[in-house]
Amino acid sequence: MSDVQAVVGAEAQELGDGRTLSNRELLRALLRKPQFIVCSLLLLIFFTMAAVPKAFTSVDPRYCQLTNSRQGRSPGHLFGFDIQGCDYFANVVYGARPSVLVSICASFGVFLLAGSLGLLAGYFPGFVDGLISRTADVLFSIPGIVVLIVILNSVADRSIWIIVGVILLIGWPGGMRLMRATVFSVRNREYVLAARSIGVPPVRILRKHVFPNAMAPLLAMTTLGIGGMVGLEAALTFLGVGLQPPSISWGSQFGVAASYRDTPHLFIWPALFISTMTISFMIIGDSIRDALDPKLLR
Amino acid sequence: MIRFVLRRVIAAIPIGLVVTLGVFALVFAMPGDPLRELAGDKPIPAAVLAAKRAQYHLDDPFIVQYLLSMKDIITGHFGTTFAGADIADQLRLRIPVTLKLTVLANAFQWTLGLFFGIYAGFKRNGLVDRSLLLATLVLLAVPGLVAYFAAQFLFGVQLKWFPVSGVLEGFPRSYLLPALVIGVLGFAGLARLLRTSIVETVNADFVKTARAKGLGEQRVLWRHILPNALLPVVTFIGLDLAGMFGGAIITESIFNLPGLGQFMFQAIKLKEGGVVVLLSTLAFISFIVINLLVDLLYGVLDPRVRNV
Repeated sequence: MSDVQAVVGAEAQELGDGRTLSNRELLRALLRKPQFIVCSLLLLIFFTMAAVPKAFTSVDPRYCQLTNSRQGRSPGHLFGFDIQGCDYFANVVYGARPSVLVSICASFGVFLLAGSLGLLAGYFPGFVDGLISRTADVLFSIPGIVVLIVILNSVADRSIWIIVGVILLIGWPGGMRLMRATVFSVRNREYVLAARSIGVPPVRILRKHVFPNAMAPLLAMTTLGIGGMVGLEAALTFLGVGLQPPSISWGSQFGVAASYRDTPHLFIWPALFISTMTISFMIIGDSIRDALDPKLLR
Repeated sequence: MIRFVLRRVIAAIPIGLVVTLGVFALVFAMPGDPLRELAGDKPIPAAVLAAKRAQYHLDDPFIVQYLLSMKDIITGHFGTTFAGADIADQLRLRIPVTLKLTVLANAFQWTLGLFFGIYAGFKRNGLVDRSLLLATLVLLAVPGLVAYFAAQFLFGVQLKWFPVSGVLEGFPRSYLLPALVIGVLGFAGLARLLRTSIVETVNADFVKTARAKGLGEQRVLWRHILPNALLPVVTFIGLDLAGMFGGAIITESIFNLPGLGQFMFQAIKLKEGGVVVLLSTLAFISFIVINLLVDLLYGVLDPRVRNV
């Protein structure tokens, strides 16, 4: 996650100087890219998988027969069986839901939180900026995953929403710094000064003038980071501080597969699904970044 | 320069206090009695429990416990873990493990990243450049968990080129596989950043001036282009190094390396506040030191931001 943030943070800085695209222009620029269309379709499949898993498999993922434990593929059971003898295809399909929910909700939440805090910190220097930036310094100087593990470890009943909440709590400083830096470059532009001179209230200036012109870098960072959230959820569940059984998730499937190395299909299928999903998110994020980049606009 | 370093160190102290206090409070707030968990299902005599609780100051109020463990950290008397292992011994055994892994992984990452980044930057839109852009997307996207397991399965279990896990085969054999995976996953971002940076620098005015003065290509490259192009990369390497400790928790638990990350994870699971705070302090100090070094290096590369 930090890798993506660092790369995007360095590359996205100049996006702030671009002119703002309307939604329709952005969409048209995106639809011109074949890789964007392919990845959107793939993600659409994953989203349907998360929303209505029954559309993909009629088998109950929790219907298990121990005699089938760790069997390979057989007719009607494309991916074989897991250690309990449950149909593995159904399990992998049902595993899409936590990944999709956590990644989308956490990314959207971090975008909103980092965006608003960055706006405040960039537009109101002094006390507000000091308070927000010092808090960010503290959160930055300690490995985020340590805080995640400590907090999640003390929650007895972990749901998807608790995981999202804790990610929100520690995930905002990177985006906040990016937003703050862009707001700094926007806050003294003519249109902001003009709005201020005719007495537009600060909240309205921030919402109507500063935010639309300063959000491009943060948007690029967020979309490129969604894939990382999928991996983070899986890693937390693998470490035993994420979702608990009987929740079905790709992370817990990795955890099981790690102890049964002689049956690689337990690892391969969730790995294939999670990688396809993260790569699709990444390519979409990259297309959006390209579309927002002023240097590539005619 | 000494004043700059001192100022940074002094500025770090309050942040360090907040960080350690926050971490300690989080561990303190975790439910469950660590000593009872240690005993498992067996009943503990009340006297033993009381003695143990007194030994680890578990009956004291929160702030006293925090101050006592800070005192232990500052004086260097770390004491023992709840299970009875000497913490100083553990650190002596574990710090080299994490350090070896980090150094090796970064050696791979920097070599690959600098090589491909510079090459792609100068041969823009060539084959290497195009495949690098694609590779970066894929490598940045693949979850670490998947990459570690896939590498472990393929090269450890199937091909038997590297040991599957543990450190029994010593340095460097036991560390090669995890370090390679970290390096390969990480080099892409570095290379891409360097490439972009070089592409921007190559067309800068001062490079044209250098060429116009009649300087040789080599001198232009080493004295004019690279120092400027390396600036964002230095920041990236700093961030990356600072994130190594967090990454170590996952890597070390997958490859079963007895390093600091594993120690931290066990300590959190067993609710050992003292150990968690000690390791957080270590992580914090290394973060501050790395950042300081990055800033100093920045000054060496770029006289405009030289710190007085």
